[in-house]
Amino acid sequence: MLINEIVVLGIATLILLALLLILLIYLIIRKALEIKNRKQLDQLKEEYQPILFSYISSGPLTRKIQTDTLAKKKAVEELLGRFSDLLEEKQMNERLTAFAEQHLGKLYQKQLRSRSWSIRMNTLSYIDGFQMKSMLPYIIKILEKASSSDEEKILCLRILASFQESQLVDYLNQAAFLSDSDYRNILIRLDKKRFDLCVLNYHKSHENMKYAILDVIGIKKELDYTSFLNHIFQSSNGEERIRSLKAIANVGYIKEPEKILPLAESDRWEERMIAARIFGIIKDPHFIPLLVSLIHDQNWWVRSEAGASLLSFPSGRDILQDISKHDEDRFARDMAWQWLHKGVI
Amino acid sequence: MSIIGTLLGWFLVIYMVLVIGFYTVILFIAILQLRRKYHLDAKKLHKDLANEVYVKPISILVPAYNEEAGIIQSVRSLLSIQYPVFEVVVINDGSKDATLDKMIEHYEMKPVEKVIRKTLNTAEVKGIYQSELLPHLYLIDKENGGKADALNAGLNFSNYPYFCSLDGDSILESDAFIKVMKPILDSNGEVIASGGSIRIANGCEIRNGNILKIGLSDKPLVIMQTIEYLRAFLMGRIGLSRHNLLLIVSGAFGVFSKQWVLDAGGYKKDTVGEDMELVVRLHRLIKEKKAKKKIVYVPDPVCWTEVPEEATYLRRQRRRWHQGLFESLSAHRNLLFNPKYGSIGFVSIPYFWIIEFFGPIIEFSGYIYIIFSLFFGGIYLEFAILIFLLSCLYGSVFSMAAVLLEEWSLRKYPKVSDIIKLFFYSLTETLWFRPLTVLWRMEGIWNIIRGNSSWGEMKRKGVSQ
Repeated sequence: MLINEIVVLGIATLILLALLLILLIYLIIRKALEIKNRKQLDQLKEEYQPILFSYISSGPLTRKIQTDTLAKKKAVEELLGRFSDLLEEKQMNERLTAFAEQHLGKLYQKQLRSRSWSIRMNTLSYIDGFQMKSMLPYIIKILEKASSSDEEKILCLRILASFQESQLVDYLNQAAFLSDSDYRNILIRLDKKRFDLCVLNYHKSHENMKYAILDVIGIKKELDYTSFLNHIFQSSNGEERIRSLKAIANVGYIKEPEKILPLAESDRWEERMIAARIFGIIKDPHFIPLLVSLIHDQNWWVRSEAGASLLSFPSGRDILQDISKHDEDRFARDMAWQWLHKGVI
Repeated sequence: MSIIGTLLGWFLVIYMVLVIGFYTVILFIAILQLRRKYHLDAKKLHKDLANEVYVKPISILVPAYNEEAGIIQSVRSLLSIQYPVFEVVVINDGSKDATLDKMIEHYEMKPVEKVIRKTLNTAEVKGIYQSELLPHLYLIDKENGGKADALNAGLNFSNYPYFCSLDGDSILESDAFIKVMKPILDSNGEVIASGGSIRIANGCEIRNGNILKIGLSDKPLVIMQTIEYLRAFLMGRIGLSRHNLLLIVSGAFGVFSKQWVLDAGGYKKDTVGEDMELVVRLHRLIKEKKAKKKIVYVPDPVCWTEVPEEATYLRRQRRRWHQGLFESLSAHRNLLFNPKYGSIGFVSIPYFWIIEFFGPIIEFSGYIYIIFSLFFGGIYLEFAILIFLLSCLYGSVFSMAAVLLEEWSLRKYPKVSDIIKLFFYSLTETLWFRPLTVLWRMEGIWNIIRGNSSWGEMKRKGVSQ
C-alpha cells in the first residue's frame, strides 16, 4: 500500500544526499583553492610590503610592482588598507591615494557594478580608506540609483563628506532613512566650511539631522556656534532642547548662565542632569546650593552629575564630605561617598 | 488494533512531513539572509562605530556560582573587549568555593558602600566591591538565590541603559558588543534586545580569555553538539529573527534594554530557562503595549562557550533544558493561538509547543513503532521505513545542510578536514545522537510529570589555559 510513497521518499532522500555531497565537494574544492590563494597572497604581500612602504614614506614611484593579476591587486589592496589604518599624516596619504588610483581604480570601477552587495560594500569602504577622489562619479551614480541599499548609500554619503563635496547637503536632505548616529558619522567628517552649510540649512533639516548637527558642535567644541546653540535651546523643546543643552555643556562656554537656572527644576531628568553638568562647568559658587539640592534628586544620573560637578569646586570635597556623613537622604549620602572615593577613571 | 496502528503510522508520517516543511521554509529564509552578507568585510565597516562617542554604554552582568575555575579568565576576556563605555558586574551568587576570594585577590577589589535601589526583589546583598585597578569592574556578593536572582541583583546595581548577561564559562570575541549593539544603535531604539550566535569552545585554542585558533574537538559528542548549534543558530534563529518571531536570545549572549526588562519585571526566579522566559515576556509586553519594538539576532558568531563532553553531564543539561522549556511555555500558555499576540501566538509559541516540546514524545513513539514493526511486519514495516526515511531527512539532511551553509557563508573553521568531519558526523545523527537526546528530553518530561524540578549541578573544567 505504501510502496509508492517509500520509493518516492527513498529516491528523494537519495537525491538530496547526492546534492549535498556534490555541494560538499564543491565547497571543499573552493576552500582548498582559497587556502592556496591565501598563501600566494600572503607571499606577495611579504614581497611587496618593503617596496610599497618605502614608496609611501618618501621614495620615487616604483615600477617594481606590476598589478597585472587579480592576486597582485588584492595584495596591494590589503597592504594599502593596513597602511591607511596606521598612517595619519597627510603627505603620506596623498602618495597612498595616488598609488591606489593608479593600480586599483579600474578594478574598483568594475567592482562597484558587481551584482554582489558585499563586494560593492567592501569596495566602497576601501575607496573611503584610500580617499580615491577619481571614483566620485561612480559613487554619485550609486547614490542616485533607486535600487541601492540604505547601507550603500550611507557609506557613499560618508565618502562624499570625506571628500568635502558641497553637493552632500542636498543628498542629506533627501536621505530620510538615516538615524542620528549615521548623520553624526557623516557630519563629523566635514570641514568648517561645509559644516557651516549644514548649520545654515538647520531649520529645513530632518530631525535626526538636527540632533546630529547639535551633537557634532558639542563633540568638536565649536565656540563659533555658541549663539546658535543658545537660540536653539530657547526656541525648541523635547529632545532637540536636550541635545542643544548637551552641546552647550560640551562646548563649555555659557553666555547667560541665569538662563540655565530654571532647568534645575525641570520635569525632565535629562534637563536636570545637564543643568547639573553646566553648573559644574561655570563654577560659580552661587550654584552650589542648587547642586546640593540636585544631589538629592530621585534620578541616579542627576545625582551622579551633581556629585561630579560639586567635586569640581574648590570647596567641593568638604561639601561632599558633609553630605556623606550627615545627610538624611541615603541616596545623596551614597552618591557623595562614591564621588569622594571614585579614584582614577 | 490494525486501525490504531495505521492511524498512528499516518499521524507520525504527517507530523514529520509538516515539521520538515516548516524547517525547509526557515532554511530558505536563512539562506537568503546569509547570502547577502557573504564575503562582507565587517571589520572595516565597524571601525567607525568603535570610535563613536555616542554609543550607548553597557553593563555586563556575570552571574557566578562556584566558578572558581574560569572566572578570572572570563573577566579578563571581558575587560579587553572593544567598546567605548562599559562596566563589568560580577555577581557572586553565594558560591561555596573560592570564587569571591579569587576575584578579590586577583583584581584588588575593595569594598564600597553603595546603596542599591531595589527595583527588583532579590536575596540579601552582603557587600559590593570595586576593583582598585579597574574602576569599571564591580563585584556583588550576595546570598545564594539562583541565576535569575543574581541577574536581578546585577540589574538593580547596574548604571547603564543596556545590559548583557553572560555565563562565567563563555569567551567573547573582542568586537562582539559592537556587532550585537549595531542593530540597537541603527534602529534608534526600536530594537530592545539583540542576540548573537554562540559557538562551541571545546577544541579551540584559548589563552587568557582570547580565542587564538578555531578548531574542532575530537570527541564525537562535542562534534555532534557543534553540528546542533550550527543548525539551531544558522537556520532557526536567523529565520525566526527575520520576522520578529525569535523566542530565545541565547542563554549565553544577548543585549537587552534595561528599561524594558525592568518594566517586564526582571528575570523570573525558580525557572531553569530564565532567559527564554524573559524573551517571551518581552514579546508579550511589546504586544500588550502595542509598541513598535523588535528583538533581533545577529548571525555572526560572537561568543564561545564550553559544552559538556561527557554523556552524564550532557544528559543532565538536556533534561534541564526541556524542563525549562516547559516552565516557560506553561507560564505563558495563554499566548498560544491568542490573536492578541499576532505572529508570536500563531507561529513561535505553537512551534515551541509542537516541535520543540512534544517533538521528543512523537519521535520516541516513532522509534517504538519501528521496533514493533519489526515483529509485526506488513503495513507496519512499510510505515516504519517511511518514518525512518523521514527522520533521516529531518535529522541528518538538515544538519548536513546547516554544516554546508556555515561553510558557504560564515566559514569559521579554517581546515578542510574540519568541514569533512562535520559533514560525515551529521550523516550519522539520526542513528545515535538524535535518539539519545530524544531519550534525555523524555526524561525531562518524566520529571515534569513526577513534579521533580531539581536539575543537578553542572561541572565545569574551565575553557581557558
